[in-house]
Amino acid sequence: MDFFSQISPFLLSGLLLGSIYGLSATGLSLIFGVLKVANIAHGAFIMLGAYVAYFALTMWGVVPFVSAILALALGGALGYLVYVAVVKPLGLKNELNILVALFALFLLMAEAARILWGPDFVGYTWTIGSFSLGGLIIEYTKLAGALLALAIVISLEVFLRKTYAGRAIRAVVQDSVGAQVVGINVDRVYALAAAVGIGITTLAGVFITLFIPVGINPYMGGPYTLMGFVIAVLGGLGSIMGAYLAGLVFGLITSVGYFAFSELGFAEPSQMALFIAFLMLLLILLFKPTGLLRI
Amino acid sequence: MPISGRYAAEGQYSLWGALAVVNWINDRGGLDCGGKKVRVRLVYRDSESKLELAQSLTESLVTRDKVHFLLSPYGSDLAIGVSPIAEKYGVLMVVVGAASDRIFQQGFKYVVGVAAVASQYMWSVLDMAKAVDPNVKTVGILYRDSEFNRMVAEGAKTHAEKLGLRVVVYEPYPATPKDLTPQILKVKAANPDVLIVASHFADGQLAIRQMAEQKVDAKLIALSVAPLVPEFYDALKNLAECVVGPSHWEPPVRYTPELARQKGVEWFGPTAEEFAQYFKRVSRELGGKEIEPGYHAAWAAKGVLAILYGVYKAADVDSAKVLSELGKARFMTFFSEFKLDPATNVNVAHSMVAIQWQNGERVVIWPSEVATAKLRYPSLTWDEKSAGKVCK
Repeated sequence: MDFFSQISPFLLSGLLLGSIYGLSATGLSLIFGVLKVANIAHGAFIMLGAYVAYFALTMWGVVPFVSAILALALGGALGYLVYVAVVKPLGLKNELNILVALFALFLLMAEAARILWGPDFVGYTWTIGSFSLGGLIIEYTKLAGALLALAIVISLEVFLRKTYAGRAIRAVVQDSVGAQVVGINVDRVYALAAAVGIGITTLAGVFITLFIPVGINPYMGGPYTLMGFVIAVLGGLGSIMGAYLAGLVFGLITSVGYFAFSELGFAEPSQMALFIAFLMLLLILLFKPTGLLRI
Repeated sequence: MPISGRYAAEGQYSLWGALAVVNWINDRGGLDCGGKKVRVRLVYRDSESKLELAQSLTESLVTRDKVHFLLSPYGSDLAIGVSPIAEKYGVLMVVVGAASDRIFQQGFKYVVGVAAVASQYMWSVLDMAKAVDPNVKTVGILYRDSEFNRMVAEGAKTHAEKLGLRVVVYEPYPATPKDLTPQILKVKAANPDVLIVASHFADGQLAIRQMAEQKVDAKLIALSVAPLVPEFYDALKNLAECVVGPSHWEPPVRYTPELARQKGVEWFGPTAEEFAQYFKRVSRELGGKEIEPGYHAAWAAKGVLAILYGVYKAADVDSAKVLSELGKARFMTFFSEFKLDPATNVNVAHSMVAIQWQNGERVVIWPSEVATAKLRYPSLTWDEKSAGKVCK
């Protein structure tokens, strides 16, 4: 088997999953860009999205592409609440207090999920068929999920560039005092950014289940928070397209890196691939701290 | 015991299993201790699946609550972490829900195991494969990169080679994997006869899901831990069909007072039916619904029974005296027989069984003496399963 045939399934697999990784980090990136708040509770909203997908399908037969809309709305409402009830009362200047409060929210959501839905690992089975490409069998649901993730990120970018609300958000990112001077309601912009950011994160939780429809549990969020930060920093905190691109890079590194290190005879190829991803993060922080796409 | 955090489910079932046995004893007036009936009290704390907390709570149980004996927390990483504390205070700790060989390789005198160790998990599966199909030649092993799973994989590899099988893939994957496609593509290229995944719950479900996607067929697919709970089938439906797994105990496996009499060993504790009845009551009271006990619960129950048997024989709560009695003991409970290996402090009379998912049911298929169904071999292909065929 030639080299390209060997590597192509790993490339494709990495790209597909990377698209979802990218989507899942955009909410985190947006919130940091606008509010300068590190959303430590990120993984808990991914978990919530995964449960929305699970319950919608198993209880009402609603497929994930439809339940994603519900997750977006639910996440959006919760995002607004998080801003109004947690971030705003603590004051945006108190980053440390907000960080601790969001960490508490993360724990609270996980424990609430355990009490409400139990500690078991649940999952669903839903397939609409598959096709073979480059040595990889690809489920249509995964392909659709990856393409939709790209479409959502592009839409978000268009929203930020072409609409009044989007331009207001960008104005606040650039200079919140200046934005206030020209009549932008900064408080409303913060609330909007929190709602959109957490809405997208919860929606990403639904999309993640297209790739990992099993093992859904109250404590699944932790690794997604860590991964989300790695991707968001790699792409440049605050840059939507940067986060998406970094997600693709992360997906490719973990998949192709595994192949490469495995072929080279390393004992722990997946850990080595992760090492490369973190090394890349270190290099970005050292030489281009604004991330891949931010100037 | 971790009743919240990543081990919440297993910890909760273990706690309920231990409580079921304690209730059973107390409903009979307590434990016979030198002719006097003594009520048993179970003091438990939630270690939240965190090692540091498990360590400080263990210390506090010994020094503040003055408990006489300890049950280990669920999880090999936690059990290893608290073992030195039991040893330091000379308090007998029975390990339940943790099977890494390393727990028993530290030379601790007061740390005792009542079930098989991790390296033995896949022995019954491999023995069965070789017995059913002498032509089976190759084995692929994927394992979660964690203390327990590494031991399961190492034990499977050594045992496979001992049986003359060639291990064609031996690959670790991260402890919380998002995607196992790269590892599964490697297995697909190697095409082993038997595929073993040393998994835990979530990653085990993911492995089956992605093997099905990539149509990686093997004559026998065996996973550790994941297939032993009903949620495995609920999550995977038909894809779970034919999947095999090693188990410490299954409800149909019957160790009975009658069997103990036949073998000339002493019977101790409730029968399997009594245990199930008490477990259901505890699960209804604490969890809000009645559920059947699984092996986590039975394992913890066995841990309590081992301690109580030692106390009953020693007529004392001194750990050294109880340990000495356990060293001489040969008895049977609903879980298994008990005979301690003095070199390792592990129960060597306990053997694991193998289960297979057949037509939506978990059936015992090995060893043949306790099997309730025959192994379906070779396994159905993923295409057959996707078409709705079930394993019968």
